[in-house]
Amino acid sequence: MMDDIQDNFSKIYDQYVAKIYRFIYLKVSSQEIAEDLSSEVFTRTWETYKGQAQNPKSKIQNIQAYLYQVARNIIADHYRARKVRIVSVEETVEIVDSSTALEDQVLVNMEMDRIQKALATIQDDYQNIIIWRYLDELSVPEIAQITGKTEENVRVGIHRALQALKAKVEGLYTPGV
Amino acid sequence: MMDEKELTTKLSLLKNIKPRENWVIFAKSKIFAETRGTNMLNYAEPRRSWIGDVFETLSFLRYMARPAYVLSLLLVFVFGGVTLQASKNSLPGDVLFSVKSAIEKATMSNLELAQKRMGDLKTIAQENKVRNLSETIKEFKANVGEVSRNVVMLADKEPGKALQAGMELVQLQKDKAAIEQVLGTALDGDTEKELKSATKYLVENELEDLLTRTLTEEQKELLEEGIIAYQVEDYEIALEKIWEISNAR
Repeated sequence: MMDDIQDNFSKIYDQYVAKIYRFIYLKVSSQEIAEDLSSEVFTRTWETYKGQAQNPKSKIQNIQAYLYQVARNIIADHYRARKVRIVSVEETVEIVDSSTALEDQVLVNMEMDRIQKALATIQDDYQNIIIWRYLDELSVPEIAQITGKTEENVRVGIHRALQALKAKVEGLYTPGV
Repeated sequence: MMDEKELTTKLSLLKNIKPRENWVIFAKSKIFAETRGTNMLNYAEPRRSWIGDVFETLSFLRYMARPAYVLSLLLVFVFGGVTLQASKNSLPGDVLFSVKSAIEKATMSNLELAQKRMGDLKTIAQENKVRNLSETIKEFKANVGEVSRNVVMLADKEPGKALQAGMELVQLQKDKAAIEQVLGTALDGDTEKELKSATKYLVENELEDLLTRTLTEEQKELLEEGIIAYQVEDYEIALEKIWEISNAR
């Protein structure tokens, strides 16, 4: 019984660990902190998940929405504890494709750095919505489930978030900014 | 002016942000290992003395006179047999591993146990059974610690057997390195130190002994190579050279 629960959660972990890590990394800009907080997300979720058999009231309806909710709470706790919002994205991000020529790689890194910086400076709701829509490729109904908003509100949110990001990116490309 | 398509293309670059593979494996094994630790704390029974066990066994015999209990006893034997069979393929952390471990400890040396756990690590690496990883590493460390101490003891008391044990230790180190390569991470720094220190002690003893003996030209060459390996702290190679010398006699 416990083994089945563990096997199921193991599959959930495999499916979502990269997304949750990236979601957190984009907000904390530190590999070490992202790893710690991501571990915390899955540990907390596992505690609830395995308790479902004994306590049906704590049943997780939508695991994806639940994981992102726990991640958001943990990130908020993290910043509350530090009382400082870090927007620095100085750390280099690991690129998986090693076949790219070094020069191209540097350009890609610079582009990534710019877009990451811009994303880190827009408001939190907009960051989330962009990550879910364009990186995790979630559908509008899925985002509506996570945020508890209507699908129409989510569509409007996506549009506004993109405008805000665009303004930041263009600002970063302007010489002297 | 940047259009929406250009912006979303730039955004897709961020898909390259991925967690380290080692971290993914270890974080997962840690989550489940902590759970097993909690369960063990919750359900651990107080330890009984062996005298208590004997009395309990004898008191159980009184039920043998009653036919209704004979069937139950038969079921216990049949179930026990099935359990033993099923435990053969279990890994550390599995429910039936305690059965397998008890049998192994009663019938095998520490070196064989360490080799068994190394086999388990291979299975884990090949079949990606990460939930067993933490327990297997723990078992492996405990066995290697014993092996290292035994080799040092053998070097003092039975040098003839120590060399054979040392060579098996070297094989264990090689297997460990191969497993680490598959897992992409070092298993444990303390184990590494224990293995190295035991191998070093054995090599020193063997080299001292060989320097007092009359050797053939071939053996002398091997001894020189062994001493060089010892000087650069490559104790595994040094031990292999000593092994070759003993076989070239």
